[in-house]
Amino acid sequence: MICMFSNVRRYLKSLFSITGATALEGMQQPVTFLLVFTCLELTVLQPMLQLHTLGEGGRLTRDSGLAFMLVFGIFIALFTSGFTLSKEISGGTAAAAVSKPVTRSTFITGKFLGALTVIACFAFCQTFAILFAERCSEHYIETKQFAGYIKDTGCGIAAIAVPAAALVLAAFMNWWKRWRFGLWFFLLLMAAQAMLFFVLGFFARDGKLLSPANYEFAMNFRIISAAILILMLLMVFVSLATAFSTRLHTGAALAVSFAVFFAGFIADSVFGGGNYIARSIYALLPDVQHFWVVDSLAAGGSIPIIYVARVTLYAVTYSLFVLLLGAISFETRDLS
Amino acid sequence: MRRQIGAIFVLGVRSALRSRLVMALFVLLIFITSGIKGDGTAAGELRMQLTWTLGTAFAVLSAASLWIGCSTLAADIETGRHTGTAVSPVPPAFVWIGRWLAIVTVNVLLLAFVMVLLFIKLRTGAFTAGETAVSRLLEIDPQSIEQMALNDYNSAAEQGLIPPGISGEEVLELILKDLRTSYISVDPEVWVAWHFMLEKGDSLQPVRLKFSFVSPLGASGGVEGYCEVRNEEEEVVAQLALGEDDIGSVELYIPAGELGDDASAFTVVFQNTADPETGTGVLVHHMESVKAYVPSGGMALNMLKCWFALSAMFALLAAIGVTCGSMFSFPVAAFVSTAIVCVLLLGQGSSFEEGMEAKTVHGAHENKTPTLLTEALNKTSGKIYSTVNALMEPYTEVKALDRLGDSIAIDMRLVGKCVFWTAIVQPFIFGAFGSYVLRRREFVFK
Amino acid sequence: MEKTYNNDAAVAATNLTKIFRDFWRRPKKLAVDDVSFSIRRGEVFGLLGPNGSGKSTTIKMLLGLLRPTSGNVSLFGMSPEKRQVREKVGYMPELSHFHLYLTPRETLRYYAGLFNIPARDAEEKIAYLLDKTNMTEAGDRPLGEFSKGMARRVGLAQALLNDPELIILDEPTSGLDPIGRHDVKELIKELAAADKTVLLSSHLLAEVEDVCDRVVILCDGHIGAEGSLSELLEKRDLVRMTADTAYEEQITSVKHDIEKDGGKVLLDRPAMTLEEYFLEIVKQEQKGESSK
Repeated sequence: MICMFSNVRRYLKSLFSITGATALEGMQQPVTFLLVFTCLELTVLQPMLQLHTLGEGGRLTRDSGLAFMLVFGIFIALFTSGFTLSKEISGGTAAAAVSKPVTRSTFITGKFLGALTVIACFAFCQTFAILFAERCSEHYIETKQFAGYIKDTGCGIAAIAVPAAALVLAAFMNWWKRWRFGLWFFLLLMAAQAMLFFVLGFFARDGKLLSPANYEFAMNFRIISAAILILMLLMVFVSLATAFSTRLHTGAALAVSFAVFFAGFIADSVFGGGNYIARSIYALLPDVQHFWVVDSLAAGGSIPIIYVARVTLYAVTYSLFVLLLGAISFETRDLS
Repeated sequence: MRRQIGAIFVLGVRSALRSRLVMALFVLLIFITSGIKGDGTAAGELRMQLTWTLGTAFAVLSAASLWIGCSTLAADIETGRHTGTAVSPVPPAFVWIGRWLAIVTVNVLLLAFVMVLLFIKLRTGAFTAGETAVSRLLEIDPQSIEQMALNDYNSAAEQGLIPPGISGEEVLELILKDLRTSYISVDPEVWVAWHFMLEKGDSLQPVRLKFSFVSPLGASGGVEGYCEVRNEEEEVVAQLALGEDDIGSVELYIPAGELGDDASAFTVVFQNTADPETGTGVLVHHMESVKAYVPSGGMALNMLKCWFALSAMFALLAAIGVTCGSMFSFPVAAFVSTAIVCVLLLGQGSSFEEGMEAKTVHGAHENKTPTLLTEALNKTSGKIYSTVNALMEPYTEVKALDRLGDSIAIDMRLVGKCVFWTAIVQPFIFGAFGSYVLRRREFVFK
Repeated sequence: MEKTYNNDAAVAATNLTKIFRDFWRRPKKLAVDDVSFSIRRGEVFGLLGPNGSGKSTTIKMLLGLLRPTSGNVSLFGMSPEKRQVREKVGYMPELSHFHLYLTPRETLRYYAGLFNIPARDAEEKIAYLLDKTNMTEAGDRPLGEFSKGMARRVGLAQALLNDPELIILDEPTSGLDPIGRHDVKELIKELAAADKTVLLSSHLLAEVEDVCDRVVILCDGHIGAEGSLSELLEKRDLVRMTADTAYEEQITSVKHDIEKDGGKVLLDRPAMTLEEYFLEIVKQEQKGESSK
C-alpha cells in the first residue's frame, strides 16, 4: 500500500514537473505573448470601432470575441504543443527526459497538460475580455432621463488599458528584477482583469458611479458557457497536436492537426448521416460543430448547463482517446 | 552570381520536394480539385469548378507560400544550418533571392498542376463550347461620364448652388466621383443612357448585354420601361420591354454585324415608362448597371492569365515570409507575416466597404456621432486602408478569380501590371529589406 | 571610424571584446574580454580553453558571424565580411548542421555553388575530398543516416572545398574515433606543409600538442597564456636522455655520478600512448594480422 502510494506520488511529481516546465516554456515563448496580447486588444477594440451595428453591437462583439478566442487559441495551441514537442523530440530534449525515471506516457501527458495550462490561462483572460467588450458595446438603454443606444466607453478604455498595463508592468519587472516576462505578463494580466471585473460593478453603463447597494456587474455571463465550450474545443486541438507531434516533423504535424481539425468542421454534414464507413469516419473525427453554438446566445438565449456538461465530457473523452493513441505511438518510436 | 543563386534555389526546391508538407499539399490539392460538385446546372458547375476549386487551392497555396517562406530561413538560422552559407562569399541578397525563388517556383508549379487538372476536367466534362466561351467586358466611354458631370456642374452653377470657398474643379471632381460611385433614381418618364466603346472588330461580333437595376419593390419585381440599344447613327438595333416579371436584371443580345461593320461605339438607353402619378423611380448605377460582353478567346488563355495573376500574389507572400523569416524565429515570423497579410486583406475589405457605401443611396446612413477616440482610430485606420489599397490595387483590379469564374476575359494589360508590381517591384522592396537584415544580423547558434 | 588592419598576418585580433546583451541591451555575459593575438600565414595556431572560455565566440567574430562589442578583427588585412576574404576561408563548425535529406555529394555541390566553383572542377574536387575523408562509399547516402563522426567528416570536406588559405576548425575531432582523429591530425599537418594557415580550436590538448606551432589559452574570455608550444611546455631546468636497453649499464653509471653530486635522476621505460597502441592494433587488424 505504502509502495503504491509512493509510486503514485513519484508519478504525480514527475508529471507536475513536466507540466510546469511545459507551461512555463509555453508562456515564455514570444509568440504566445504576441498572440494573447493581439487577441485581447482586438476583442476590446472591436466594439469601439463599430459604426454600423444595426442595433446588434453586443452580438457582433460577442461573436467576434469568441471567434478570436478560437482562432488565436488554435495558433497558441499549435505553437505550445505541436511546435515545442516536435522540436524537443528532434532536438534530443525528449530523449534526455525519458532517460530519467520518467515513462514516455508521463512525458506526453505532461506535455499535453502543460500546453493545456497555457490555453486555459489564455481562455481565462479572453473570457474576461469578451465580457468587458460586450459590456462596452452599444446597448439600448431606457431610463427616466434617457432612451437610446449607449456605449460604455469607460469600460472599453479600461479593458484596452489592462493588457497594456500588464505588458508595461511585466516589462518593468523584467528590467528591474529580471522576472520572467512571459509568465508575469500572464499572471499580472489575470490579476488585473479580475480586479477590473470587480471594479466595474461600481459603475453603470453610462459611466455613473453606483452606490454599494446598487453594485451590479452589468455583464452578459451567458458568454461564459460559450467560452467554456471553445476551451474544450481547444483542448481537443491540443491533444491532436500533441499526438501528431510524436510521429511527424514540426511542419507536417501542424498541417495534419489543422487538416483533422478542419475535417471536424465539416464532419457532421459530410459523414454524419452516411453508411457505416462514413459513420466510422465521423466517430473518429472531432465534431467541431458541437462546440460552436454562439448563435444560441442571440436574442437573450443561453446554452443549457447540461449541454455544456455533455460536450465537456465528449471533449475530455475524445482528448483522452487521442492522447492514448499519441502515447502508444510515442512508446514505439526511436528517440535519437 | 547565377551559380550562387542557383545553388540556393536548387537547395530550396529540393528541400520543399522532399518535405512531407509539400507532399501533404499535393494530396490536398488533388482532393480539392476532384471533390467539387456543382449545383446541377452547367453554368453553376463551371463556376464552382473555377472559383471554388481555384479559390481554395489559391488560399491553401497562399498560406503555404507565406509560412514556408517564414520557416525556410528562420529554421536554418535557428539550427545553425545557415552557418555554411553565412560564411561563404555569397551576398545576403542572393541568399534571399534564392530562397524566395524556390518557394515561388514550388507554389506556382503546384498551382499550375491544379489548373491543368481543372482544365482537363473541364475539357472532358459535359460542357459545350458556348458554356466555356470567354467574353470580354466592353468599357464605358469615360468621356460620356465626364460630359454628364460637366452638364450637372453647369446646371448647378446656373442655379447658384455651388457654395463659395470651393473651387469649380473640386466641385466637378466631386460630381464625377458621385456619378461613378452612386446609384441614381430614374423617375417615371425619365431616361438614362450608357455609352460603350468598341474595339476594332468588335462590331462584327455578337454583343451580350446585362442590365441590372433595383426596382421599387426590390426583389419582388415590378418595373415598367424598356431597354434599347442604339448604334452610332442613333438607330435602334435591339429593344427589350421590361415588365412585372423582370426582377433585378435582364439580358439583351445584339446579333453580329447589327451595329455596323466599322462601328466604334453604341448606346444603351433605359426609359422608365411608369405612370408619373403612381409609378416610382428605378435605381441604376452609371458604372455597374449595364455590362456589355463580346466573345474573346478561350478558357485556356484565360486560365493562363489567371495563373500569372495568382502567381504574382504568391511571389509577394513568399517575399513577406522570407523577409520575416530572416528577422525572427519561425513562430514570431509566422505571426508577424500573418499580421501583415491580415492588414492587406483588411485593405481589400475596406475597398469593398467603400464600394458598398458608394452604392448606398445618400441619406440612408445610420445617424451616429463618433466619439473622439473612434474618430481618431477611424482616421488612422482610414489612412492605413487607403495606403494598403493603393499597394494592393495592381493585384485586386485584375479580379482574376472572379473574371475566370464569370467567363470574362482577364485583361492582359492589367495582368502585366500586376506581375510587374506584385511579383517584381513589391518583392524587391521586401527583398532589399530582408537582405539588409541578413547582412546586419548576428548568427548565434550552438 | 576607419579600421586599420595588419597586412602581414593571416588573422589579427586586436582588443577583441564581446558582451552578450539582454533584451534591454544590458550586459548579460562577457564572453570575450580584450583578447589580442595574431596568426602568421602558414602557421598552425591553437585556440585552447575549457568549455565556456570564449573559443567559439572568438571564432564566430573572426568569421563575421558575430560582431565584436569592441576591438578589431582582420583576416588577410581586411574585414572578415568582405567577399574576397570569405573566398579564402574554410570553416568547420563545432556541430555539423546539414540538410539531412541531402547526400554528402549533394551537400558539397551546394557549397561548390556558393563558392562559384565551375561544375567540372567542383566534381573533381568533391571526389578528391570524399576520398580524403574516407567518405567515397557513403557519398551518395542521405546525411540523415550518418553518425556524428561521419557528419564531421562531411563538415571537414566542405571546409576544404574552396581550397582555402585559412582553415578554421572548431573542435574538429569531436565525435571522431581515434582513427578519424589521427586522420584529421595528418590532414592538418598536410595543410601546414602546403603553407596553409590553420586555426584550431579544441579542449583536447593532446591533439593540439601534436600539430600546433603556437597556442593561445583562453580562460573566462581572456588570454591566460600565449606562445609557441616549445616556449610554453619546455622545462628549462631538466634534461631527458633516451637510449636502447643495451646501454643500460652506462646509463646506471651516469645516474650514480649525478646522484653522487647531489642531483636527482629519474629512470623509466617509455610507454606508447593509448592512441598509438590503438592505431597499431587497428592497422594490424586491417592487414589481417592477429595481434594476439
